[in-house]
Order: sequence, then C-alpha cells, then structure tokens
Amino acid sequence: MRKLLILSLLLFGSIPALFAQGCDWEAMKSESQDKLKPFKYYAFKVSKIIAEEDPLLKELQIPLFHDAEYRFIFHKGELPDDVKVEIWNAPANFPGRKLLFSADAGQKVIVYDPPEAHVNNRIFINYLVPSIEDGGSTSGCIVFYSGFKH
Amino acid sequence: MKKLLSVFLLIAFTFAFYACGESTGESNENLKDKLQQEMLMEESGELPEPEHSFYLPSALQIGTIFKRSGLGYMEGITANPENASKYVGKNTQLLNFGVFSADLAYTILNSQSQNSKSLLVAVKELSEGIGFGSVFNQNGLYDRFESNLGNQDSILNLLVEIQENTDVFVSENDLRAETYVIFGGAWVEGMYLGSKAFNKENKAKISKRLVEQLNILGNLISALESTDRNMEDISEVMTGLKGIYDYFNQIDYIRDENGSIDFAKVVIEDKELDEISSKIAELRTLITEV
Repeated sequence: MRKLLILSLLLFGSIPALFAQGCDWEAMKSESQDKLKPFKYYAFKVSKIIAEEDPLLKELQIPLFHDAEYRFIFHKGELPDDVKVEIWNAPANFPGRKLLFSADAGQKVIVYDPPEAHVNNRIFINYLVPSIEDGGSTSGCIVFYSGFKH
Repeated sequence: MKKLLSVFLLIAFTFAFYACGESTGESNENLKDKLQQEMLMEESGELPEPEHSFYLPSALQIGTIFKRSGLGYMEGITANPENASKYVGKNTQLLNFGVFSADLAYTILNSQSQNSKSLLVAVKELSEGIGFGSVFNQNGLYDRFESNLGNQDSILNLLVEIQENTDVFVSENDLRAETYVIFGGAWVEGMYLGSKAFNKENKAKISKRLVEQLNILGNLISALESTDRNMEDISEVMTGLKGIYDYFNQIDYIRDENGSIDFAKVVIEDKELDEISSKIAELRTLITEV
C-alpha cells in the first residue's frame, strides 16, 4: 500500500511539473482570453514544443461548422521567433493543399479571424519548429485559444 | 509536404547560417553540408512524420449548431438520467457521460429546466465516476448551475465555463483518450437527437448539419484509434461508428469530383438519411442500454 502511495505521488506529482516546464500556460491563456471578445469560448489546447536537432512539425485538426464565425488566438510564450504558426485547408500529407494563413515571424500573440470562405468543416493548424544547432534544445508551448459566435 | 519541409529547412538554415556566421564564425561549407544532409534525410523519408492531434467540438457546440438550424424540442427522446448510476466500466461511463452532456445541452438550449436539472444530476454523478468531478466542484460551479437553471443566458455561459474547465483539466492531466470516448457518446447522442427531432419544415437544414457531423466522424474515429487506451469492452461501439462512416463515405452524389462536400448546399436523399438514422439509433441503444 505504501509503495503504491509513493508510486502514485511520483507519477501524479511529475505530470504538472512536466506540463509546466518552460510553459506558463495559465498566464498565456489569460492573455489570450482578453483578446477573445466578442466571441465565446470554443476550444483550448496547449501543445508542448521541444525543439531539438531535428525540425518538428505538429499538426492540430480543428473541426468547424460552415456558417459560424470563429476567432483563433495563438500564444507562443517564450518560444523562439522562428517557430511558425500556419493554417492549412488539408493535412500535411495531402498534395496540393492550400495555405490559408501564415503568422508573421516574431509575433508572440497571433489573432486570426478566418473569413467565411475558409470555414469548411475543418482546418489544420501546423506548428513548424526548426532544428536547434549544436545539440541544444529549447522547450516551451503554444497555447491555442479560440472562440465562436453562437 | 516534402516541398514545404524543404523550404522550411532552407529558411531555418539560412537563418541559422547568418546567426551562426556572426557569432561563431562557422564555415558556410559546414552549414551547406548539414542542410544538404537533412534535405536528403527528408527526401528519403527519414524525417519524423507530423505529430497529429485532434480537437473535437463539445456537446454544447453540436447542440447550438442544430438549434440554429431549427431543431426543436421533442419530449421523451433524451436518455433516462436514472440509469446514470447503473453504468459500470470506465469506457461505458465515459460514453454515457457524453450522452447525458449532449442531452443536457439539448434541454438547456430548449429551456427545459426540469429535465435539465435531472440530467445535470446524472452528468455530475458520472463525472465523479470517471474522475472529472473536480471540473464541477471548481468555484461552486455545480451550485451556480443548479441555482441558475431558469435563466437561459446565465446557464449557457455556465455550460461554456464547464467546457473550458474540462479542456483545461484534460490538458493538465493528459486525458485526451478519455475525452475522445466522451465525445463518441456525445456525437452519437447529438446525431440521434438531430435525426429524431427534425420535421418537414427544418428537414433540409437539419440534414445538412447531419452530413457536416458525419464528416467530423472521421476525426472521431482517427482520434479514438490514435490512443493506446484499451477499448475492448466497447469494441462494438467502434464497429458501429466505422459502419456509419463507411456507409456515409459510399454516398458519392454529395461530393464533387475532388471528393469535397459543400456543406452549405449539400442535399441528402431520404433513403440514405433513413438508413443513417437507423444505424445511429441502433448504436445509441448499444451505448445507453443497461
């Protein structure tokens, strides 16, 4: 029983620590929240980013309803400027997919209201993380916070 | 995709070249070699595939969309809240938590306070069983919810707050697999309500929404299959979901030559609509029966 308790403490104690590493998501979420009005909350997702020797591509699928209005907010926190946020109409492995939006490099907080023509059932958010030189690594997170009009 | 990554690598390395060139004096040749090496790796498919994750809409969002399309309230089609305590097994509880969440959204959106109250009790009870109890215990959420049941605006805001708290709770505790199962239940119930409560007047609009939801089913199946959660006990539900998706995918006339669907204009024939409705009802019985 004692072993189980210690194991549980180790296991569950480590999760928030991992989650918080290089990522003050609560502050980032709160900052994003301020930019949501007049939209109502729709989705929130924290993506952990660890930039290492190999470049990384993280893809997040978001389903959308065709005649609703949306706002997407991305907060990159302390991640380097060259971590890119892009929105596509199809997944990364789909030939001929179209780029719908690409955030300017250096923007920490990105606000994007997709035009109606771009809202057709789902979009694909790509986080592009370049490789880090000399075997180093950088960790952090991107907060995706979004709203829609009811 | 390969082109994208190559361009991305080129930009990344050009940036690195200038940065490193100034600070460390690393030679152009070394960087060019490294770039070429990584591009060759990419060409040969050695670079990692993109990491995928999915976001699935909440029961409230599905309910709101159906409501906006004119879906009215029909007495007696929601699940029986008295069954909440009878579900055993974590996956079954997760599925039925989704079912009751969809029903709760449906009754609230249709100002059915009394039914909402008993469904709220069922949702709360199951939330304890699946380990999501703290979502309702935050900031007296459950009590505020109960006391505002007659106030449509306040209660909708509270439903949104519950959704946001749930998303945060899921992120903090890495419970993605659990939310996918919950959404499975909510999706089936949302479709069930949509297919049961339409009438002559709203049928065209509602059927467009049903098609839109069927397309999201692909995301749900991919999401469920992306986890290593043991779902043997609900394998029949997975089979049912795939059966509906396969049936939907073989309806050719709703797609253009590229396979795309225009969700604003799509029209589905009664024969297919009836078949889908019947498959949904069957699956819903499988999930909710005790």
